[in-house]
Amino acid sequence: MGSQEAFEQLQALILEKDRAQIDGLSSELEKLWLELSDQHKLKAHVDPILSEHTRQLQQKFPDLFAPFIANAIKNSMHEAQDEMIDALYPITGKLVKRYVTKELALLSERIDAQLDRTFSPELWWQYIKSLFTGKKTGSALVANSNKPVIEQVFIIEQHSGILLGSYAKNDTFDQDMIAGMLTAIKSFAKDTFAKEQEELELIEYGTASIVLKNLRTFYISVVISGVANKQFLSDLDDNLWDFAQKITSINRGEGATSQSQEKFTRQIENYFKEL
Amino acid sequence: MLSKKVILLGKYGVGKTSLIRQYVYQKFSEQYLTTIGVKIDKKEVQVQEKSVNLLIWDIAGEDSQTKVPPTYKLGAHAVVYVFDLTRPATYESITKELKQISLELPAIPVWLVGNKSDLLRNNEIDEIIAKVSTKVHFTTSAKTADQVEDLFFKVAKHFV
Repeated sequence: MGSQEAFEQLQALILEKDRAQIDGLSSELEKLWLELSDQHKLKAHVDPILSEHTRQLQQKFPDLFAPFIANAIKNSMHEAQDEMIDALYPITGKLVKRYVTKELALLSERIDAQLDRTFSPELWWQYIKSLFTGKKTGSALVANSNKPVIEQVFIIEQHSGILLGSYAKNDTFDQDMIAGMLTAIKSFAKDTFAKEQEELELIEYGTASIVLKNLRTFYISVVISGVANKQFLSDLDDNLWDFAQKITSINRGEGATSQSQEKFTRQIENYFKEL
Repeated sequence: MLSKKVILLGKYGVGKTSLIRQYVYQKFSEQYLTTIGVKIDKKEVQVQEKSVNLLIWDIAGEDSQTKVPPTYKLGAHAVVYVFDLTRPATYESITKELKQISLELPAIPVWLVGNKSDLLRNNEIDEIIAKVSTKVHFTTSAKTADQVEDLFFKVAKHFV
């Protein structure tokens, strides 16, 4: 036996186990490779694991990702304000249009109701009046359909904003607070825009307006709903002067602030509920 | 019922809004939101069987009283001037500030209040009060509500 043959025999003896192991591993690897290559077999192994992970992710999703998603949305909204306005504009536009259309329909119904009474003596009187005054019957009809109504009246001490008395058709927000805030708004306007002796006299919002009649120690604030035309405002002005004269004559020598709120409230109610 | 206008003045961030919030709503927040313009709250106080309706005007803090719109102060029946015990800048010019108030509102009582007492030890508060040139009527904490009720009760009591 040559030395080479003897060496190979020795090698075979020593590495027999390792070679067997390598052969085994190779066949295992081949089997595994086959399974990985075969989609159906791989699916059978992976599917249960993925299902479990998906189930867990579904359960924990809000906790794990909600803050990131909220932040991402917030950032996107912040960075894309123009695009958002562009996107929302048609929707809000449609809503406004729908609202205006609905309001016009209501107005039209009211005018129709008025026209239905065309042969009523009242309408004929209106028509005759319009011939003499030049005031259009249509304008009168529209004005009648949304008549101004005095909703609230506040008598408020100048500067301090303390409510001296009030009248309200319906329950409202805390009247002391309204009186205070109206005074603050008046003060702000005076400090910011007004010249000496000028005062805020009218606040308008939507279909409501607040008329402010300023007197020396107090001012009267009248909240009106509906369309307050010039004639109504002029008549109200006359009434406010008249009312102011009445209460100042009552308070003469006593001072407006010492009058009880109840007494004032009764006076205000009696006077304004008739208007 | 007596109704009285009480205004809170002082530099920004001294805790005027927090004092009112604590007094009227028994709430406190660490979050700082600066007051814009003026905010009005009210609270009815019983003093010796009489009701006093306090209309509390929380006026936005400014560096100097000369910057506060004068008409907000007009008609006030009492002034609560608040400073921050932990910020010397809020009480260093107090004499000048109070003088300005007395010029605009002569003969109106002014209560001087050092706020945020919860952030200091008693001896530190005493040291600060000693530094302030005018009498400090109350040291309050809007956070713990310490002395807040006492302050406004004393103001209401003054009117009865």
